[in-house]
Amino acid sequence: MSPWRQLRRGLRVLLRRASADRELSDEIEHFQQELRATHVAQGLPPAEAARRARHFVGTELALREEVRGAAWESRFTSLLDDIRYAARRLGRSPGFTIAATLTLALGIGASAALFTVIDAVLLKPLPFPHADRVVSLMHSAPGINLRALRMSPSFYFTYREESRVFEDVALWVGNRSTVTGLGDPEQERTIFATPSFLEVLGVRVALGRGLAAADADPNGERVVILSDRYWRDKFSASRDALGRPIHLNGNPHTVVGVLPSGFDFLDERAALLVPYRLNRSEVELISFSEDGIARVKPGVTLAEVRRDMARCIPLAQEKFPMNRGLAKSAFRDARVTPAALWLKDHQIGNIGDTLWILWGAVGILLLIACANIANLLLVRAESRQRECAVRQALGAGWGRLAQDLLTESVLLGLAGGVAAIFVCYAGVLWVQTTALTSLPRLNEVEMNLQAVIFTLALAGLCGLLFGLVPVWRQRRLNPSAAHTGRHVSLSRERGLAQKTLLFTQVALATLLVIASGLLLRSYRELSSVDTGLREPEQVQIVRVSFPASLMESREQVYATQRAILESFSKVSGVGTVSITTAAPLEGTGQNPVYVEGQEDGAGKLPPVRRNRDVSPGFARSAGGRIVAGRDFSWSDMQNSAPVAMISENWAREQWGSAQGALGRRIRSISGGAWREIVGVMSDFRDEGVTRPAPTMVFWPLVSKDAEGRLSVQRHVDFMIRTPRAASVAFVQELRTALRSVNASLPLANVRTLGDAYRRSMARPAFALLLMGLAGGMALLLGVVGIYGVMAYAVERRRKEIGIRVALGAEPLAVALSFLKQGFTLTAIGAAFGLLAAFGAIRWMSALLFGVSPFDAATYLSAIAILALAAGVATWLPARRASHTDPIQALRAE
Amino acid sequence: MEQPGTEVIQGTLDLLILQTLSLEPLHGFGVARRIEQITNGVFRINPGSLLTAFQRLEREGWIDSAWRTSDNARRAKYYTLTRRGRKQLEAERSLWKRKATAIEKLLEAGA
Repeated sequence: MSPWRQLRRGLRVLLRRASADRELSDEIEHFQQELRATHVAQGLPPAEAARRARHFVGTELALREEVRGAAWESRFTSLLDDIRYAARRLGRSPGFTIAATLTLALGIGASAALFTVIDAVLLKPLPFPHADRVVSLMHSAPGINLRALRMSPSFYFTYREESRVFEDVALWVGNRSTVTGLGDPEQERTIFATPSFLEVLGVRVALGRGLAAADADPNGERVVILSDRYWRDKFSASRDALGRPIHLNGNPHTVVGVLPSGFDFLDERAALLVPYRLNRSEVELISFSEDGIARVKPGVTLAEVRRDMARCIPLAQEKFPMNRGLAKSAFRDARVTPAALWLKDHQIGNIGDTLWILWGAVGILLLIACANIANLLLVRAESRQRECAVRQALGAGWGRLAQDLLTESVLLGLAGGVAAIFVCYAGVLWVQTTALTSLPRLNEVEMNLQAVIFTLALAGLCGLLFGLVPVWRQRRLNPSAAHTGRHVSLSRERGLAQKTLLFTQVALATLLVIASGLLLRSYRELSSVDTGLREPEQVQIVRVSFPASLMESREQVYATQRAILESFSKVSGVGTVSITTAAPLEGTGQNPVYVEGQEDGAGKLPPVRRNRDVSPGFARSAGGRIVAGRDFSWSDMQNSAPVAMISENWAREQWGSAQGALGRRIRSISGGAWREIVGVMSDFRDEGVTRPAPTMVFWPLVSKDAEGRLSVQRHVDFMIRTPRAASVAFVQELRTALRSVNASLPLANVRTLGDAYRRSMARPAFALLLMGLAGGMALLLGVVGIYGVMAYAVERRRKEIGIRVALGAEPLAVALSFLKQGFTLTAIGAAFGLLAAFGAIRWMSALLFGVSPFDAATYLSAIAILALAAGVATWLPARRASHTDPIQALRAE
Repeated sequence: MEQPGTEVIQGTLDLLILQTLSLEPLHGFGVARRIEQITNGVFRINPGSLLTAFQRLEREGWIDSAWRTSDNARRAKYYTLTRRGRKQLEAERSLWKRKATAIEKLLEAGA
């Protein structure tokens, strides 16, 4: 009961402060009146009676404070008073307040924005119920030097039937399918997956039914599940969509369900989910072109998963027949090894390195900002020293003074925090929209309440952090300071605190400048890399598919492809056009390729090469060169001639020169005849700018299979070299050109080769931009910090300088002495920074390309930049010192 | 109130106030005067301590207050002992008696 009453009374006083005060005043007044009346009754003259009464009761204000101060709510009101007082003080120095708030807003906002991204991308579990128990079934094959091997139907069945750690296994493959019958023909991203797919993830459909085992029957009814977005776009979110047929690749599929909104598997943004119809009896052992996921039993570790997979892999070769033309030993020699990853780690890849490093950089920037503000606050506290000393002498406790000082800094921190919310919001928006980032799980990045709370908490923490510096110094304040004038000892102590802060600032700034420098050099190295493909911005790429259900005849597919190529070539401004199964940089298959005469031991797997099927003109349209021999010709295509082309690096590796490869014969693993190498194409970086050019083989776009039938590619990219690439008008003209050949084929996935290269440069560019911003800001704050300390030093020594000048000191010598001091301070800070850099920069090596983490040139440049900055920051105060007028300086005190 | 009074023994002010109010409701000055009179001016209570004590006791729920017109036609805040206050008074009283007896015994033993 009592605490409740305390609270109620306290709150009543708080809410009706004026009336409570009045009541207390009335009571005191009454007390005084009664006392005076008593004195008068005792015979004292009225004036004397009043004087005594007043004397005994004391001043009303003091009395009121005494009574009020005993109640709990007075702590609160005094805090309110402090806040009001602090706000007024801050308002009186708008320059300082605005500068500090902005600095904080940038530092805190950037940290919070980056943390929001990190939280969404790295920390939060994937948005599936079983996300923490789903693994991605990756493999590697060290025997044939293959780092990443995906999944095969044979492994899918083997794991399902033999594994002891998996609850469920699913096989899936991301692709595109041509949808007809819903307006213009369109290509939509499609996930083909075994019916267990949704169950592995624990996802339930929002409408209709999920996939059933019967849906995978190759002879059963064809069904499809729509994504929420596709359902809304194409069916206006109508329940009538269920049971409707849509044509995928020409085949009617019945809509049976709709996925929940927000379902996005591995950033595939798939519109359709289609059952993968596998015929177990037709599965061969080797065909690793699918992906696999599995849900593990609760509590199973990744190591256990890998162990169990390793146990299952040999069982696969008992269960499934070896592909034709391969010996059993080939599988064993490939040494297929499990490399399962948690699905989340699979999706986010190594972006974690970049994000954490950048967060570290932004955090350091925030520390610098705090140090800077702490330094400014020190100067402000100095100016209030006398006031504080008086208050202390009058009995104010240290805690009370600390509260006063801290209120100001926490208030400042919170002001920065509120502004930081906007900075954070802008930052998150920027990350969401900029094409620069190409982050995984980007659609899960959003500004949320958590981000706001994080921002404010960080702001409060910063306020405490930089607020504690002056408080900590104030704790030993000598009340006698109130009486005397200047205090050498206090100033010296303050100077020490100030210098420590400055060293921290300069050291951290050095670290960030070096990090920025290293990233800048990396980026320049990356930009100057010869990708092997010239003017990629001038290559327009479009995808066209020719599903068997729309175009049964293979001859017709080839004829149509050729006709489209001719039609595209006639569009104005177009140079070379070619057709390929995979545009550069967008991922191709890696298959073993036999070289005639190099087969040691029948059926042994030779090394893998990146392979793609191309039409004549591929090298020219992509921006490469034929370095030896000749390009494919259309008559090669027409006659299905047994020809092939390879990349220069393979030719040199195997035969010592490009010329040496000509006339040699190679053969693909999937059988077929030996093919003569007729040309060698220059190398290009097909796996991203940072990775060396792989060895490649180019097969003709059309060929004859073992039975002599024409073999064509039904999903191809057209690569069109033109200065008009990427313009809207040009793409429209391409559409028209395509329609003139065949009206039911959609133009899909419009992009340029430059886009692909930009994407592979996106992450380094993102890292460089953020680190550069952090480094630049750090440098700026460092300059401000050095300037502040030097200006203060000059101010403090004005009198001394005046005397020296009066005694004949050269102005230049005075300036030089300050310059020397400034450089010494900077040098000490920078030395700490270099030490920190030696320790910390190696964490960054994941972000570096073509430059050592201890690159001397970068370090020297960073030091030169810092020296320059220190020079600028010191020069102004030093010049002012040298211009000191002795008379004024001496008179000032 | 000429001769200097003694400061109230630490912690007994509450007891003195509760005891005074147990006889009749009084205003602040009334309580101070009553204590001074009864103790023959031994205890002089300064208004700060008195009002602070009133605030505390009221919040504990031991006394209640209301503005009334006093005998000499002045408006004054009168304090009344509540039921809980009466209980508290009994408790403090017996505690004080035990203390006082103990101190007395101690003094006698020393004499």
